[in-house]
Amino acid sequence: MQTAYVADAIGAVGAIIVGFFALRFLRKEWGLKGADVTVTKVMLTLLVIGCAEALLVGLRILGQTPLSTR
Amino acid sequence: MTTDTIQILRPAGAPIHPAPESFVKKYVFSIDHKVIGIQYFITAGLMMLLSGLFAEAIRIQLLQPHNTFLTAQQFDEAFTFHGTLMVWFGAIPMITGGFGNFAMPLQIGARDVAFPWLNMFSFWTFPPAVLILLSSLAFGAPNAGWTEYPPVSLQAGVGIVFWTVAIFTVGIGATLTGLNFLTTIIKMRAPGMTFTRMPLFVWATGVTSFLSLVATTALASALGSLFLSHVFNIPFYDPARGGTVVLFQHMFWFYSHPAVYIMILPIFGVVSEIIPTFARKPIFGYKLIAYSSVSIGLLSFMVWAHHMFTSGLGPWVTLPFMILTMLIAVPTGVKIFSWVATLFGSRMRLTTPMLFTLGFLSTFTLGGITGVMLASVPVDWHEHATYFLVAHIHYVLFGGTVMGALGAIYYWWPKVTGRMMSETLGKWHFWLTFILFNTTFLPMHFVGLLGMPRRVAYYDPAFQGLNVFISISAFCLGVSFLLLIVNMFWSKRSGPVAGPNPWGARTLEWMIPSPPPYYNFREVPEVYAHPYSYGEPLPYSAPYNQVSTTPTY
Amino acid sequence: MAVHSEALAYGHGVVTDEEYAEQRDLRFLGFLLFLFTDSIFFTAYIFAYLYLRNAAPVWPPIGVERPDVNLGAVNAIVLFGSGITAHYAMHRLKENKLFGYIWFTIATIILGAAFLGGQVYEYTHIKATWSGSTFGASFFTLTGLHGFHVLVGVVYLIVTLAQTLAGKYSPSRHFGLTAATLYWHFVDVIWVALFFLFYIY
Repeated sequence: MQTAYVADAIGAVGAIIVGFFALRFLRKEWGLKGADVTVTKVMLTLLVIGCAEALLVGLRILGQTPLSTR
Repeated sequence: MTTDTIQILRPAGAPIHPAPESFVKKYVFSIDHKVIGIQYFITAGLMMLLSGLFAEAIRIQLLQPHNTFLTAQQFDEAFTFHGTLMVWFGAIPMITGGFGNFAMPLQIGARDVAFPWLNMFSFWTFPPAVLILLSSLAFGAPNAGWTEYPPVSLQAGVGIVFWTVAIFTVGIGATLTGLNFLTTIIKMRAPGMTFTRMPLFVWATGVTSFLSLVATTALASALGSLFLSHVFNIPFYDPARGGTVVLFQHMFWFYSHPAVYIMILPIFGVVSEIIPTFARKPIFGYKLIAYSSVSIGLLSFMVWAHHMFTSGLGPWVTLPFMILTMLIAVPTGVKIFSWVATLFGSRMRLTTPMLFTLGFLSTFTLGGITGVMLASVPVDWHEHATYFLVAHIHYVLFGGTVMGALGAIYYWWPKVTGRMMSETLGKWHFWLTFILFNTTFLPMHFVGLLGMPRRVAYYDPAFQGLNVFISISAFCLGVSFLLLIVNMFWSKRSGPVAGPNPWGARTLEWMIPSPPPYYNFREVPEVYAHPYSYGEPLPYSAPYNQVSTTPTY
Repeated sequence: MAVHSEALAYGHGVVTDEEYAEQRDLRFLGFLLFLFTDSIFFTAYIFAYLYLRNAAPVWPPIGVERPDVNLGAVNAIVLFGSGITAHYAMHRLKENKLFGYIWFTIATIILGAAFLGGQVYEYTHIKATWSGSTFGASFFTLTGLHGFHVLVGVVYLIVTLAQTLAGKYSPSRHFGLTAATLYWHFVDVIWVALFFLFYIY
């Protein structure tokens, strides 16, 4: 049980830190043009989504969908 | 052999690799797209001949309702190898690797493809894959048809492992070729050649490359899961542990339907080259043909389940696929009407390539019509897995792909070798092929409608008459291919020298010597219009000034 | 620390800036197409997973337990963090700070290896087997395929790091590094999808 809370905390905090840096990079590159930059922006955006996922899991808002039998 | 001392100008993206010196670098591990194209052509051609032998074995077995020429197991192996070799080791490599490699870079004014080393690597996935597949004959060959559905394919022993590994290997080459060609077409066209000034064969190759890139990877997933199911007992397809066999059909056909378009789209491109050349008329509907290729490519990903109408899918699945399948006939019909309109009012020169193309028009259209029939779910419920289906696929694959490919061979042979083929032998070849093809495959429609299933070694004696007729036609059709082989040897020995443009065509590959020097273009011309406006001057900045004495091979 | 400058030989002598730019253009498109095709490969198996899951009467199947989502989240953050360090490394390189590039790349490699370690822990502690159920089949095949890609990515980064130390790249000519970083981001992004599909959904 304890490890679950520790994991939650690490996950949530880590998600915030990583997401923060990702958003910072995105903001810096937002206006730039070019194929390279566009690809990087797409990747970073998806990374931010991933961090959001991990954050929501760490805060126990998202978890495994309770599944009914069907 | 020396390199030219004249300054060789480079178009965007094409540094000239130095001329190869050693035999190995020139003919074995060449990075020259022309040599690689010929390597693909020879290897795929041999595989198609081998596949034809398997087909003849099938036809011998079917001479009698309960023949003992092949055991049932051997018969199953025969049709499995026939289909497998034809699709992945014959048609696709010959058309994409063979014609695409040789002609496409020349038609866009490039000196090679985008990644020449990768091109060479792609070819060299092909012979090992062949060896892997053929070695399975010694260890227990695959025998569930070229579609290898589980559970039958998982029950027969180790052959399926060879089969999946072999196709996965050649699939890697096909995917990389698609990547290579698409990059080449997007980035390496001659200056001034916008997309709407490209030859139609390049449009076709571009769409085909996209299909190769996307669809082949999906096939890899199906092959991989089949491999895992057999070797590691992974339950994707085992109902006892929650799997389902219909899943394989979805994964397999999501690739294999685009695959049939991979096999036919470049042929449509070649036909679009041959018809205006020998009709001496501008092509009707250049943009229609170009854009219809794109829509066929896109639609091809949305119709796969029409191969699965009898697999227990509900009507909410089958009906949309039925409608989309019928829809895909529309862009194809647009092409056929455009070609016919090009021929209308023209003075046709009935050379061998033109004859094969006209033959293609009739037989492929027939195949397309039976395709629209089969697209209807109730008809398919009746005709699926009968000889009606076999007739359909052979009308589109032989009557379409092979006929068109033969036309392409006779069309580009002078460019590749610098010599003309014999028109007499060519015409004999065409007429024998055309007549014998129809006598072989037309009766299959009837025998299928009468109820004969496909992939059976033994059949009801009521079908024997038609089967004997088909088999005899098939033997003669097989023998008629010898005419092509003889013609090829005759041409190399004593065919007249071709010169740069024996047909009076207008695409860029005919502006350089035959065979082309290793660097293709001494000076890449600028392009002002698409090449189909017969009667207008050639739309290039410096046609026919590519005199060079550098021999190639 | 100054970066080694100047031309690298494409096998036959010095390559001009123009030639390099042309080649880089081609290789960038080619690499993107390769990543595109790789994503199709994953998509096909994801389709198979969703299909099997939809066809199952109960999910997860009896006797099988889904992986622990909290540990999974930590592992995911490790991988996402490595994506940030990889991006930071490229920044440093473009500012001609080779030292920064090297250290951030080492950080990326360590985090990537840590992710793989986490996956190994996951594999040994999960109550499911590869061949026991369709859950195991989907989970181990997809995450195993992803783990294989991570391993290849780690090797790729190590090789490019070694090449950088040997002086192959410069602030103006470093397509190999761009490709390795792009590949790493791709691997990252695939995990965004797989994490959602197996741990959350």
